[in-house]
Amino acid sequence: MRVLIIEDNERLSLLLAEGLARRGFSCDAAGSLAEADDFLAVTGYDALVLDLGLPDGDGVDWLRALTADHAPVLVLTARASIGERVTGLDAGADDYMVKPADPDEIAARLRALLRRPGTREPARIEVGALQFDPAGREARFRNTPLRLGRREAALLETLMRRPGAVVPREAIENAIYSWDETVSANALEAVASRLRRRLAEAGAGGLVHVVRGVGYYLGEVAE
Amino acid sequence: MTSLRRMLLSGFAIVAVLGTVVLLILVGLEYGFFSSTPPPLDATLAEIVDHVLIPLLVFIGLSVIGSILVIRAATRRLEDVAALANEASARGEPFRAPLEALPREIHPFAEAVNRLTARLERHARQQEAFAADAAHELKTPLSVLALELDRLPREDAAPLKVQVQALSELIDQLLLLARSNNPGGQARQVPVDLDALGQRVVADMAPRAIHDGKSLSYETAGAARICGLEEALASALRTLVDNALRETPAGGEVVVRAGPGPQIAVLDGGAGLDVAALERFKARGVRADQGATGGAGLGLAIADRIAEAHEGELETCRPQETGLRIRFTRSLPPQD
Repeated sequence: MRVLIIEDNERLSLLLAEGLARRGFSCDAAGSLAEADDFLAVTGYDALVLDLGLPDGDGVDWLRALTADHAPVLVLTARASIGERVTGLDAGADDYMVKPADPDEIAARLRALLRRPGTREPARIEVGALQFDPAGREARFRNTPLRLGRREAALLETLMRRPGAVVPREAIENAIYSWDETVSANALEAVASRLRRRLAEAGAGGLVHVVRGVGYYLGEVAE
Repeated sequence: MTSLRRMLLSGFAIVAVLGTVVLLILVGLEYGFFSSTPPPLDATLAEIVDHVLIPLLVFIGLSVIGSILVIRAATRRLEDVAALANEASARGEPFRAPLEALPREIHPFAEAVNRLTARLERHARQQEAFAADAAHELKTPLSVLALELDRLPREDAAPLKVQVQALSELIDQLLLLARSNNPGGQARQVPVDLDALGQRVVADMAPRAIHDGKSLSYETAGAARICGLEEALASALRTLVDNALRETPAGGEVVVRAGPGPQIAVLDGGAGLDVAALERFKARGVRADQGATGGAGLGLAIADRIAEAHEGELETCRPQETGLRIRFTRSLPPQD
């Protein structure tokens, strides 16, 4: 995967290129917007990493002027406020990260960007050793099928689609109940506890955590 | 300082007493009251009542009523302007006293206050600009550092990366503090729902708490909305939660409770800071546990200053519960 890094700090640009190279990307580095235009005129890239404050102009304006079919752009900048993020994303950035960013996370987000457009949703969702097949509504842990009811499966799927994040209660209820079902106050707790039991039987205990007052969270799943 | 009305009334009282004495003496001399053959007492008294007491009472009575009306009118204008100032402050907007709405005698005072306000605003603006510059300048070397660390073996780099992250968060907090102190700046103050704020921070921080074997939960007790900078408030709340999680042993629970009213509390399973200790931490910016891992020492002090910039205060929940809360003195009217 070819990535163009547009960043005026040479040291930073070099280290980032090295770090991404270790993670399987091949990178070119442009030190200014003019240089970036030159690179883009010669070759195509799968993704761009763009700093906003560059010597020959502001990255946001440059981003607005890019043609509509440009490669996905990850903005990597020191500008951290919500207003600045919104401006960046509105200008056409596909993702926005604030310096200092962890190279692992930059690589992960770049991979996500490359997956995003056009590509079909993967047939299976995988989180560690947990797998879920949305079409067959079947979940597996270490390749052993889990016998889940309809709602337990829907809860697991919802959590697996947002690994590492607390999923709000309303979002889960919307996903597992149809709109005309009346949901009693602790119905979701019952579904979660059945799911926990099934997971524990398969050797994947302690994965589904409740964050009281907010929602549920799928903890780290072993490989 | 006593009130203008009281000053005026005592002035009139003195005038009445002195005037009566002087007039009495003059009238007495006129009628030869002090001579060897004084006139009859009844006639003198009648003269005094007719020509001294009644005119004096009428005159002073009318003057008192007139002055009170004038003072009331002037006070009302001052109150109107004060109400405008309070509204502007609640909306987080800059304010200048409108001179045309004030009596001319007040102008020098109002102008002086306006000049002072302008200076404070300029100062806040400069501070924000400086903090923004400093944050920007510091973040570039920090990103270089983070990437340099990436070349080290993973287990060597991990603790250093935590420190880089903590430093970066501290820089963000300082910038947010400068922004909170500059209500006229780019970052607009908006209505902030303390309920939503608490839920968001709990959702952000729960994964780490769970990873460390602690639980973090949220409850609401009917929180109000306040006007402020949401990012700054979230950052202050995050500092409190971070602090509480560090004070709570594994297996313990930290609860974020929004409300009742304009306050948000973070209750921990630790010993809880007493008032004196809290004041010390706020003042010196030392970390509550004095430990050596993660987190930057200025956290609580910055959270306190952010609360202060939103007309709130960081206080301890002791003795009823252990933990810290931010209580705001001003809230927005509830939404329908």
